Amino acid sequence: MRRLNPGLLLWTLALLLPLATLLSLATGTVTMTWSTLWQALADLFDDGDLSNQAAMIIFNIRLPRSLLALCVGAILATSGAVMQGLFRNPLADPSLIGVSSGASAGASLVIVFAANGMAFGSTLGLTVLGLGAFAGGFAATVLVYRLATTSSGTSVATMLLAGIAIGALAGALNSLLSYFSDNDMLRQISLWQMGSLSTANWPKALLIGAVTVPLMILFPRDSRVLNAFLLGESEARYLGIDVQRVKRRLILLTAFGVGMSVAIAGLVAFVGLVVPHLVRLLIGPDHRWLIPGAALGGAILLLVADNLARTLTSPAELPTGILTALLGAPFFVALLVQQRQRF
Amino acid sequence: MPVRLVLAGLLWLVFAAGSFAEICATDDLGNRLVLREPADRIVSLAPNITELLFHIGAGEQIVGADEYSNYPEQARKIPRVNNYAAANYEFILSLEPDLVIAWQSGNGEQMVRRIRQLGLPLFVIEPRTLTDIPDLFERLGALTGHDREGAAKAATFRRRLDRLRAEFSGKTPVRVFYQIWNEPLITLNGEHLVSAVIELCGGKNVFGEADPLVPYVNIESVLGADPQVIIASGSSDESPAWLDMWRNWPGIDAVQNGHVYFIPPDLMQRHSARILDGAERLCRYLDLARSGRDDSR
Repeated sequence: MRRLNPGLLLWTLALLLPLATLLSLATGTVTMTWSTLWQALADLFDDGDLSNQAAMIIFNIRLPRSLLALCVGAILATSGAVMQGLFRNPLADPSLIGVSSGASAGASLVIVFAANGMAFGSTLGLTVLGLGAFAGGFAATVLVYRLATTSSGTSVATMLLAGIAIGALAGALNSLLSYFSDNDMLRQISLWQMGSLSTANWPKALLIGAVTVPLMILFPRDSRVLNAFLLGESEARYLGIDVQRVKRRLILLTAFGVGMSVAIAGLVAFVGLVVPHLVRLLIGPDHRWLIPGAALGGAILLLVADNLARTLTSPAELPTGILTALLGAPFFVALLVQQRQRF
Repeated sequence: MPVRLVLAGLLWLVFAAGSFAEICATDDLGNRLVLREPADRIVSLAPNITELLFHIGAGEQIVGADEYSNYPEQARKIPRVNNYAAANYEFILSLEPDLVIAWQSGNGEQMVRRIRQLGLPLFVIEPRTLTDIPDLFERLGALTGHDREGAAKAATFRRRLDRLRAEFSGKTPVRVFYQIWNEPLITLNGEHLVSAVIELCGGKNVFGEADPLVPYVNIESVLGADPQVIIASGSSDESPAWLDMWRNWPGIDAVQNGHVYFIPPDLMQRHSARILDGAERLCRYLDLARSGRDDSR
């Protein structure tokens, strides 16, 4: 398959991103003409006037939700790209190191034990729940990492297996908690696990934004190192790379980013696994292009998917996870078929 | 002799029918159930069934019930046989019930099928409308030997229902948002029983047209629909803390005029006698919204 020029793809995606954002600001249950949208945006930038309904909907509902979608999409996709590069395994995604299942088990624990009668819609509730999810995801990752690390280094195979084991354990803990929880807790657990961007508000958007920015700066700094990893771990070591340290750093960053995004938006499947592959199939495995490409691609995919989730069955909503898979999977299959014809 | 055989057979049938006063009934799945005598050891697989049985005076005959049977108070003491996910079939068998009553859409196809496979006498209900409820008083009354009480309660229920309908259903329509949960925002569409209650009170469910029975919506949709009354149900007998969230959206008619109310979900979402209590509250709230008076919380 002929590859695209990476620069061209990046520029295209970088151009599409603001367009997609603008589109998601313009569409929703309440129909708005472009002129109302412009007027509302102009008012916002002018004096922060929220008195008219259009401006309030855009500023308090659509904008935080779009930002949340952008950031979560970017985090999941770049984390997936980094994990696949680090483990040289095409099936690796953030869930494989146990972070997602650990995070959801952590959240369930908080719902059942820590927060009796706590309103999870409130800022305090969100913070406690988020901390629980993050701690769970982090603990699972550390456990997986420890299990796989011996004096001779970290074994990728053991790490993947340990990730599956810890994931199963966290899943069982989750089911056990939901089975013994009362009516109220059960609702909270199951609704939270479904994952949704519909609860987006400014605190959530700002929090995830504060996580996204450093990750998008830190991940690309390891592109060359990840490129060296593609040769193999020993080869990377011979090239003078402190393999252990790089691994630890990238795994911790991933756990941090994915843990936070799971804590805020719940489990959004598929983006972390497939977006990096899509970008790789299009422009090749060079991480200098792959990581920013995945960030843009993931952001756009989640933004468009969420936009459709909001509008297709309006005034009702579809779960966003269904749309990401529906949009991404056929495209992915088409690329695979095209690639097969090369051989 | 064939003629003699036929005669003998007919005689036997007459004799059989005379000796056992059989109770025949057809359940909501169209399955025929024949009981030789009124059921005396009943397993109820859903809270609304337990309530119905207590209401017609058959509560004492329940030997097993689901985990959520919480009304009336005595129902809490009945041994638990199932929850939303699973049933303890071994325990159900050991109770030797002569009637198991299930709720098709609540218990699910699998649980109902398993009970049937075990050969237990099964009666499946699937009430959809408000008038199905008094019908159930009569049908369950017949199965449990409480014909007269069932009929009396049914008549009372129908009278109350007719009175509410006559008083409220023709009044000025009020736009109602019925909120099940806050994060995510969940409501019910027009096919749900709750919408029937809303219509009874002369209201209009703002998401009645949505496709799924239990639609997920978002704040923007609620802003767009601009309900005049918001009814929150939550999951317990207490007004949910999240009801305060609406204060952030003063643009909504219901918020502006203070018509945000709580009605316990057991009074609105269960097919039982208490639904008229919920209906009376709802009708009152809608009337408040019509007259523009502020009487919230």
